[in-house]
Amino acid sequence: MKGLTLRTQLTRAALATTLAALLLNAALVLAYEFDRYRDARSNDLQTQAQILQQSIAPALLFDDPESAQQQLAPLRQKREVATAAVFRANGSLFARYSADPNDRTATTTNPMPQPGARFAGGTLELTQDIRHDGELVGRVYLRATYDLARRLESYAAIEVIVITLSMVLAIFLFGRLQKSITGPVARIAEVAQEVVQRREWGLRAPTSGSRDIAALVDAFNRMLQEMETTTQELQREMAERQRAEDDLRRADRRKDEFLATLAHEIRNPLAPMMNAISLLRRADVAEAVRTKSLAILDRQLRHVVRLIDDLLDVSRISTGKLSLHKEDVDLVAVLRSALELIEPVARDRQLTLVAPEDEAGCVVEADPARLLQVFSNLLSNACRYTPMGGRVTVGIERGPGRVDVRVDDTGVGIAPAMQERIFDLFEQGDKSLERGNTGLGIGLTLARQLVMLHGGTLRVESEGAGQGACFIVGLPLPAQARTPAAIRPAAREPAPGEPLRVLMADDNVDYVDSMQTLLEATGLTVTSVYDGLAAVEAAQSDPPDVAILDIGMPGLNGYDVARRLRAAPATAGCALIAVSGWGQESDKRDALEAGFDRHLVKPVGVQALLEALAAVRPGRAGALPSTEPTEDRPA
Amino acid sequence: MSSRTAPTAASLPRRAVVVALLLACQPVLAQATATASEAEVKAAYLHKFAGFVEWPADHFPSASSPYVIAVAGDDAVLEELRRIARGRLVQGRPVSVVPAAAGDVPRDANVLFIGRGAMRDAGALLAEVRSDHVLVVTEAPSGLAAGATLNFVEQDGRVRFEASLASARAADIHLSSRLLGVATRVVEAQP
Repeated sequence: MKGLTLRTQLTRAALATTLAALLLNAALVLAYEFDRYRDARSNDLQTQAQILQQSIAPALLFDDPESAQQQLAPLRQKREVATAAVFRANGSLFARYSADPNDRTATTTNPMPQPGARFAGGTLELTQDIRHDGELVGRVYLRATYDLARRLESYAAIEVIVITLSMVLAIFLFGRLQKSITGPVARIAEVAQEVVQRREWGLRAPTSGSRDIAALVDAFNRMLQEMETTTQELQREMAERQRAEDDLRRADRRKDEFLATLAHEIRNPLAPMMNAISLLRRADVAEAVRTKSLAILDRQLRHVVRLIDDLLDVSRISTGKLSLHKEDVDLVAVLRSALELIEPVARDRQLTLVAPEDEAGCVVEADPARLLQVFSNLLSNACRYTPMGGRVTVGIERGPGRVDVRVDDTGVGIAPAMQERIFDLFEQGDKSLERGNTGLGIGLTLARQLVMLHGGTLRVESEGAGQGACFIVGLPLPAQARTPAAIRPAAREPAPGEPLRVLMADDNVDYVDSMQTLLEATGLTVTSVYDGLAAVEAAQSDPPDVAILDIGMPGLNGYDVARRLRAAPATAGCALIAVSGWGQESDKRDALEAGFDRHLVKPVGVQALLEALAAVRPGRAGALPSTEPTEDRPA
Repeated sequence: MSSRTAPTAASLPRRAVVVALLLACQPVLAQATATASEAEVKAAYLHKFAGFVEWPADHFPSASSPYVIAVAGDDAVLEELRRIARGRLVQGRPVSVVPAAAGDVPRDANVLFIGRGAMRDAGALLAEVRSDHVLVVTEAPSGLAAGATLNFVEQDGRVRFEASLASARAADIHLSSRLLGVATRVVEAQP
């Protein structure tokens, strides 16, 4: 059955059923006809016998065999009657008739049969009593032969014709009917075939046929729909993955490039620093050389520190660890500070810096240090990409609810295709040029992220390469005008006074020692210890003005040291600054609860430390020796 | 049959006497034994004849009125008839058998058998029953000519009968065609 089509199977089943029904019908009709035929013949013969009995009774009564013979003679008209005989009541033969004159069997073999009808094959024997006035006067015997076989044959022939015609009709009718069943199924198969071959999931089988077939077609179509949807989804997902993979690969490549750049960037300042150290080591070094060497060291170190600080900032922003200390800030003051910082660079490159109009009341809610970082970054960029003798203009445009700060330059400009990508991490405008100018490609990323943290926007406008560029920082303005807090310059010089006594406790020996030297250079008195218990001991023996404590120390942690110092009368009044690798709000809260006045997050530079000291002991903190960079910029 | 013949055994000598008397005027003795069975046959036939004859519808007083068979001139037949008619019905009627003689034919007779012994009086007897719807049966070659309706004849050693439709019409009785079918000869009625 495997190789057959549904159509053939259905046809076979239907025709087999029809044929079986027809044959059964024919058999029943045949049996019925046969039975009826025998009945009819039996009745016929009985009637015949009855007539004979009536007519022959007188002959028997009056003993007239000749008359009886004459009565039997008309049987010749009845072709089926083979033999007839009349017996007297005593059993002797009275008269006989035979269609075949030579036949004597009926009289000799069966002198006086018992009454009744007997069918044997095609032969019917009938015997009836002849009575007169209630008395048995004799018996009549009839034997008829029928050509049953021929009759059956003719019946069978008729049945064969009827069955043949019925089958022809059945084949014709079924052929038409089955189209409504197999048609839709065949179409489903065709559609399925096409779908498989052409991978075209949009195809649908036409709905038609009976309810069952329609349900099948419907289910099939829904399945196709499902497959189509799934396939589309898969394709979309695949494309997405491809894109993500591409992005990943690109990011990976950028990271590699970045690492190379980073190594280069960090390696660059090291050469002049090593040169400077070599110079300083010489005993007979002249004072001028010494000063110059120290300036080189200072500038290059600052460069490296700034580089790493930027990187750390980006990392903090991307991990959500950077939090802003927002306050009301005078935007113009911040811009001035930024211009002041970049001024040496601009002077070096003979650029004209144009400051904004002094616009009063332009107050934004921002972290002043971060805002300063953004603008100095943009200005530094502008200076870097503007050729000698160019112009960098800073302008302010106030709009409803917002203020735009434009940093315009007459530099190399940015091709339109690059204008959005320059904000991506590690992406640089013109790499060949960038190499010469140095940079990691993180400044703009950091700037944009910082602006966005302030709820603002940073975008770029440029007519194209060589047309200059304009970076626009849009910041939201508070609903009501405010008066700004005092802007603290990034490196404010503290007022000189009595030297502040500082206790530093940290298990990082190099950090503590170098920081001690730096702080002492600003005129502070510094004591260094390397664990918590030593810190407590040192504070007890010689109470400091300020204690700078690492949180994660061996022996006793920073929190416990702070609590002990606060508990002891001698040290209860000293200012406490926590230095921790953890910058979450909860860490700060823990520090304040333990008795700290301030909480600094590592890494903490000398500048930040000085600011913190100035904050806890105003007017008494020291300052870094001024080492203004003038020359020897890294190549 | 044997139980029925038993009582008649006693009457045999008498019958033999009668037969002997009858045969006294007949030349052949051999016929005596033949006539004994002949009487039985004739009696049986006489008994059955009534069943094949139709009388006018109002001829019998009732449906169960008997057929009356009168026998003249043949005591053997009379006796045999009496014997076989006892307890047997013909067409639903009992059969009563009575002797008859010239001038003494019962008024209610339906069948009158004129035996050879009474053949001399045949004319008188026939005249006596002419208008009484009586089936007259004779056993003489001239019977039908004399006016009888049925007449016994001997054919091939067997007792047969012949019929006259003319006589039947004259007696205003109707003979069944089945009866006529077995008659040796039928004299058609003259139109």
